[in-house]
Amino acid sequence: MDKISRLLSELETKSKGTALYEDVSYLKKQCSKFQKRFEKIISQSDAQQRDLLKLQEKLERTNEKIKLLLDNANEGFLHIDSELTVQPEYSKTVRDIFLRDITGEKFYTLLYPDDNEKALFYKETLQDILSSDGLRSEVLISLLQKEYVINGRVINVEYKKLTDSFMIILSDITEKKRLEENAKKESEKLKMIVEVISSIEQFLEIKLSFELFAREFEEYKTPQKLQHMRAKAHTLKGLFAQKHFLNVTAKLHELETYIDKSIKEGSLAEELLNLTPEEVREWIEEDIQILKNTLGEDIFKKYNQKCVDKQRLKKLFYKSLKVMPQEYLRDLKELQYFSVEEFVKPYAVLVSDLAERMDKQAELKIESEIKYLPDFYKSFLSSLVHVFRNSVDHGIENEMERIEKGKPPVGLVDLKIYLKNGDIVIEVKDDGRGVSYKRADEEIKNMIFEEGFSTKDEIGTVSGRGVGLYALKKECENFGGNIEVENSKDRGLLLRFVLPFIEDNMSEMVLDLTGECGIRYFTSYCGYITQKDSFYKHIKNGDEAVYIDVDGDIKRRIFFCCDEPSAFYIAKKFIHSDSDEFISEHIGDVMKETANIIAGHLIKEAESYGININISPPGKGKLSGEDVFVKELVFDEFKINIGVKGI
Amino acid sequence: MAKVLVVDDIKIMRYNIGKMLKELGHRVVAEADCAYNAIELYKKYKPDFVTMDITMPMKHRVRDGIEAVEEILKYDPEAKIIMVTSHGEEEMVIKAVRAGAQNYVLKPFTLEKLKEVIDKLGLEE
Repeated sequence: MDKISRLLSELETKSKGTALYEDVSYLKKQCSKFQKRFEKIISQSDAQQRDLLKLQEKLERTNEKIKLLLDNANEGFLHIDSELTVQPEYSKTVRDIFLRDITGEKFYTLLYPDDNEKALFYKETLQDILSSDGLRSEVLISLLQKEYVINGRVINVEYKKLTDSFMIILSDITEKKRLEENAKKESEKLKMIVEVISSIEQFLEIKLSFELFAREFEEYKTPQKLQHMRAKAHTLKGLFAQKHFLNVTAKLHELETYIDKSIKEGSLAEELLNLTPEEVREWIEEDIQILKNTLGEDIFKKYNQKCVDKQRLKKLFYKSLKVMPQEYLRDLKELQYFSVEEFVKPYAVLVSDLAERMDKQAELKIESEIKYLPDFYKSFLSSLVHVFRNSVDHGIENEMERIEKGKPPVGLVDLKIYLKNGDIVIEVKDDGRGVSYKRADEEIKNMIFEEGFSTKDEIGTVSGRGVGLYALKKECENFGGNIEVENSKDRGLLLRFVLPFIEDNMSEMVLDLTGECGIRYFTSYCGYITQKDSFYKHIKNGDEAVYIDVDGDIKRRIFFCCDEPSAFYIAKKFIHSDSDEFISEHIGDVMKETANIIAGHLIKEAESYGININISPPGKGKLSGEDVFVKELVFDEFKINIGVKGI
Repeated sequence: MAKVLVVDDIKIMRYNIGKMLKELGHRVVAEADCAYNAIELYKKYKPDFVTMDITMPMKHRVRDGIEAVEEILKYDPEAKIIMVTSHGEEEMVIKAVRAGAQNYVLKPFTLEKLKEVIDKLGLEE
């Protein structure tokens, strides 16, 4: 009791001149009142034990309030009784929130003044919480709505259950919310760019479709072809909208209105008549410029050479993590999944469009058992463009040929995505002519996925450079998956990609960050070592490795492992000794130290993303297990595998 | 090791939850893809606990996870049910908990979180 009085006196002096002062003096007065009565009772007889107990209980509650006040100095608190009625003793901040005296009002109507149904639901739920205990009340409290807009301010509501009443803590989080919103907007923009780049191949296909449309624009400009033009414009609008290409989407929408006007009037509208193919082509430029501004001028050139700079994309994604407040991390993880169906939908349009360009007819049938996949499968699904191109270009015959063979005039391409034995299976089957070589499926597979392979002599505009399928094979290998081929002459070709189902995005992120720290360490701290390559791989048999356990916001085990010559090289750089024998002796220690240093950098790196981690001392173990993510860093002189798995 | 009934209309979610449960040393005895099947399979397998998706398409006039919770508890008042929910479904979860579900997990959840929630069920060894 004395301690509380002392504490309150201290607090009273400190809080002088702040909003807290009133609350503290009030409590101090209450407290000394109780204290006096308490002492009086003590000095009286045992007969008044019951009163004493009652008073003690009340005192306990006051103590609880004081504690809450101390814990939440910037927050308003109020007390509601078992009838959920607001009690008179509430802090000044509460009054500031409601802008009136709320004593005697029902708390649920304060929260839902205009919604009787909700108010009733909350009344019942709060009563339920009061009458239940343990897990049930804990679970229900965690589910109560936390944020309300009261008098234009965003107020966070927190409940503390007392014996038969609630202590309620209100805090004004308007400003915090505003900052969060801004951060969210910024990351939305990044997300948009990431979306485009992570499906760059699909996007380029859409872009090509658009460019052809622009080129042939003059031909569409006749009253007979208006419906056709409208369908095209509408499809392209949908495709661009899906990729967040806002400017070109708006332009295409405008075009649609001109076409509609022309159709209605039976003659070409003036706006349409004046539009030139060059102007149409320009529509996409503004959006492309946004992409180039963020990702560099060479973004498309780079793709043409080999493949997209995925590292850059990853960085961008993690940058979006960085601007996110901590509590959005969970939501963000949700964003890291994409809808498979939504993603592959545009392929249906692209396949018939491709076929049309080659005077063929083809239809894509999509069947996906898998609804959502982690984002890093996107690039693989994006590369499927090459398979479709291949099917339409080389597989599907033209109408005449198909009729001669007794096939339906419209070629069919089947895309099936499903789970089998824990793997993701992606099947593309066409009913075209198949590969005409009389070879075993395995041999055909090796042929068509070989670099530079093409079943046509001349290189077509659509496909035929053979780069696409090779890239797909590489991508598949990086996932640790495999490819199966079933060829049947004149009946069609089936390509089956089996990818392991990995869904641990956090491991991937830890691996990326560790990889970056490793690269930085080896290139800048170890002297003139230059990095050559970095890629994901799949490890089946365990190798001896040094590991470090990461604990905190993320729990993972990180492995570092390399072959003997590489380890020797790293040790030599580290030890600066001429004696090979001496170096060999200390390889183990150097590896441990190296792991320790890189993990040390990782702590800092993770911190900059709002993730707090600790690391354990290094240990020795085997790099193995199905859930290990491995990345190999290749330098001029050595290579090192970094692996991450859950613990 | 507990026997578990996994209820979710999305196959990949059943697969994911099943995988996590296995890692925690439990055994999935049955999977249901709708609330109606959940009730039937509960009666057939008498699992130690259930993971129940809250929104599922209606089949045989059983609407959703909440109704399945009610039906299962009518059949077995001791039934232990964990709701599997998404952000924004809080009110439905409140209804489910008030109907007798013990706890809930918010998608996407970690192995640790699932373990924590299962541990709180107070299953007999």
